[in-house]
Amino acid sequence: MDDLEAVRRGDPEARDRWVAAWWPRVYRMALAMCGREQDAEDLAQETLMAGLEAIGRFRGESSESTWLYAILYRKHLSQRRRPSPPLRPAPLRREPEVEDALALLSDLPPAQKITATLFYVEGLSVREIARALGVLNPTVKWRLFRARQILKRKLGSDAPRIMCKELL
Amino acid sequence: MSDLDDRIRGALSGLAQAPIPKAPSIRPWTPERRTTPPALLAAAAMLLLLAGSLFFMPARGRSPEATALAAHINALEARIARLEDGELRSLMGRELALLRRELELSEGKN
Repeated sequence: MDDLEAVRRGDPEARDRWVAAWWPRVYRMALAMCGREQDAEDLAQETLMAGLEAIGRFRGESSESTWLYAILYRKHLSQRRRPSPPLRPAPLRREPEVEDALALLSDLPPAQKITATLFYVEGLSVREIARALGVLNPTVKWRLFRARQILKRKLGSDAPRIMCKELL
Repeated sequence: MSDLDDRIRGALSGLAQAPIPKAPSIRPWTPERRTTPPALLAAAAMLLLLAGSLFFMPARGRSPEATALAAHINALEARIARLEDGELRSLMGRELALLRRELELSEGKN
């Protein structure tokens, strides 16, 4: 992101561009974590807001995406500790592919969910994930192993649908 | 990558098709400038007033009895200093010092 310096200086246009550039990826990751569109929107907003506040301290030791995902994960955990917000209107009908992906992730505990999403969706390496989440490489490998076990069971029960999709 | 990894990746790729809402306009939080509450100002003013009154308050004078006793102790001190026997002089001097200390303490209490 070329605008990083301008964002640091507090240029409002650069800030808007920065938010717009990161919004889709952060929102998608938030959706994977929360499983509900409105919660995901809240989480993505909180993440980017925290990112903007902390951007002056971002030294570039990790990639910007890794840094933002680390913020998102911490925000998600603190969001889960808060009392549940009042029920919101049901989301619009989702595409079946989105529904399948969210259903697949729904049974994973948060640590495994973010690990699996970073690995399978964002294509991060074990090392990058470990850095983002502040854990050791073996911890990431263990979480991936556990996530694979759960996802394998779920994919097994969903096999006909998944197989059909793969044949297309 | 195993076949299972490919299947998981394929199943999760559906996330990319999730509709993305419009990016919000996010402004970083800036703390509001706090105004000093009037109660705090009043408390600080009272403390200053108290400190000032203590500073300017005249020291309490000695009572006539204490003044007489102190003069007596001073006279005794002069007489003890004239004693020839060194051991007795130091013994009496210590006793007198104790007496003087007691007088000071009793003045502090009153």
